[in-house]
Amino acid sequence: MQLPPQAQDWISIFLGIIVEASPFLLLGVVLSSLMHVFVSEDRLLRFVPRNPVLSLVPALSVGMLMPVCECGNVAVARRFLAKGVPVSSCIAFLLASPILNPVALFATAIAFRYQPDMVWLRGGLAFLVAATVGLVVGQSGKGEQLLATSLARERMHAHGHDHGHGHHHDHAHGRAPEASKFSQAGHQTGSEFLGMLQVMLLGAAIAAATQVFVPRSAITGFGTGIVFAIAAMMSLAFVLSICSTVDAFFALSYSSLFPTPALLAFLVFGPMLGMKSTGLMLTAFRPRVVVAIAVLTAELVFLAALLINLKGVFI
Amino acid sequence: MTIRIERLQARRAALRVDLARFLPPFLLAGYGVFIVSLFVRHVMTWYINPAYVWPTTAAGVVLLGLAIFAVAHRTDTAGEGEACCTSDACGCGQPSARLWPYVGLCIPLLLAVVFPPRSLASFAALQRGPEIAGMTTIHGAPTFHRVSLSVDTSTFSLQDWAGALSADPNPRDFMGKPVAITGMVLHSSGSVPPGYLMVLRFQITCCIADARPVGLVVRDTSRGALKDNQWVKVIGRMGAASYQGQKLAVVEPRQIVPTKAGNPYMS
Repeated sequence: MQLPPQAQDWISIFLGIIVEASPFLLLGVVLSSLMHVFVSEDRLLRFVPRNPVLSLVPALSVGMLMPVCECGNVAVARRFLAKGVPVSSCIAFLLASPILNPVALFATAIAFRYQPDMVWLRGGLAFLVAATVGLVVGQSGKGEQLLATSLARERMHAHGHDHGHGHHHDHAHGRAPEASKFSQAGHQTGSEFLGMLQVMLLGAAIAAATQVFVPRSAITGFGTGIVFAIAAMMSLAFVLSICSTVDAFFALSYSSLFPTPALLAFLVFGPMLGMKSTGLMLTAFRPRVVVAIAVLTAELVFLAALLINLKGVFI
Repeated sequence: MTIRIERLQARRAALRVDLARFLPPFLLAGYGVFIVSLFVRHVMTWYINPAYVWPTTAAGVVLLGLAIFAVAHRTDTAGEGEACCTSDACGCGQPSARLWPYVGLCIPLLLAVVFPPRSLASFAALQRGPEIAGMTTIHGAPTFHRVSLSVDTSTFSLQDWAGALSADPNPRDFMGKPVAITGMVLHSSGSVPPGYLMVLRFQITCCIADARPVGLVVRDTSRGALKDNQWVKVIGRMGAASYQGQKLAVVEPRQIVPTKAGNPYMS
């Protein structure tokens, strides 16, 4: 069947995003399911301090060790939220882990080997922005009020197991035999993968449409000057939704067009918020919370990049 | 009459629950088969960077395994419970009674079946803005490196030339060097000097969402015979042309031969 080039390209890009994201989404969902079945709420919460600021430490530390990018970490963050981990910690984890994980930082070091400052600036800025957004948004309401309805219900009944619809689910807490636990994890993985894929499809469809119908020059050609350059690269990062493990190589290709602080904004903002990952966030948080996270993150990254340019760190 | 309507409603509800039980394993298998079939048909690189082929294929196999597991599990527990929640993501592990989310999940599979993989072409190249080797600094892949000028360039691919001209854009350093490249034709009047065309491929960092058209400028000796998206092999020597106030490395072709379409992507 012969389609117009726009339609054909949309299909190819749409399917390309899904194929590329599948292993990472699946990895995140497998980790989430294993955590769901094998780690009890009590055991998990023992490692999380009650103080909101201190609670960021384990969240960001786990983010550094977790080998998942922005597709996989939403599933893990959802599991943390369901188990009762403070919302501020989960937001910080969600935003920082795609950048602070060793694979992403190593790729940045390889791509920007002639600008080694980029590695610590990327990691440091991600850390600060994630912690700030986590604290501000996470403290703006009671935990359950910020979460997507189904997740809030699961969190509220994490120990009670009453879903309010007439029957009882046995979320394993150490009593079920090992074989049964693995069976439960397998079932949970399939169901959660499809649940998250539903939402990701929407993000992928919009990202593909934007790529087909909006010329790249309309995004990168805002105008001249550092303000426009940072805005252009952040917009490009949002539209492209490139995996954080390789985005440094892509950013490098714009090094002749844009100043380094704009590339830094691309590298910090993209993994935190892309069309694809914003859709996935809606499976964890209410829409107004996702908007708040997006606006605050964009502002902070923009201002930080501007400040770095003014300070002349890269000169 | 009322009893018949109630029976019909009950039968419809039961059917929905049955479908809700059947569809998740079916969809998991569908995505697994889709991904594995891309690998088997050697077309996965038409969507993603080759570095991701193995993890993606492994994910496809795991999805197939999950589908088989889900079917076996359903058989084991058939009739034990009923569909409960309205969201798959609720975490309780029971199937959703709503069917429309599953319909949405079928869309990519249907698109994949109806429309076989097709590469990005001139439309995408113009939409993204072609990058000319020797005029734009082309970064993005470790294979793009500076090459020794004593090397025989007749074996250079388009990617090698892009790397070489990126590292050393001075056309004088390459004057007269033999060129033999294959790629697709693009007439882009805004990007190349009059009387020239581009022979390009797309460079992928992650997946085709980030593919960038990268090419060499070639003197058009075909008198309009070459069309956009046509695959050609260009044999000739490297020369130079003036464009937008600077000297640009261009290919002076001895021969431009139409050829079979190859892999449009470089990584």
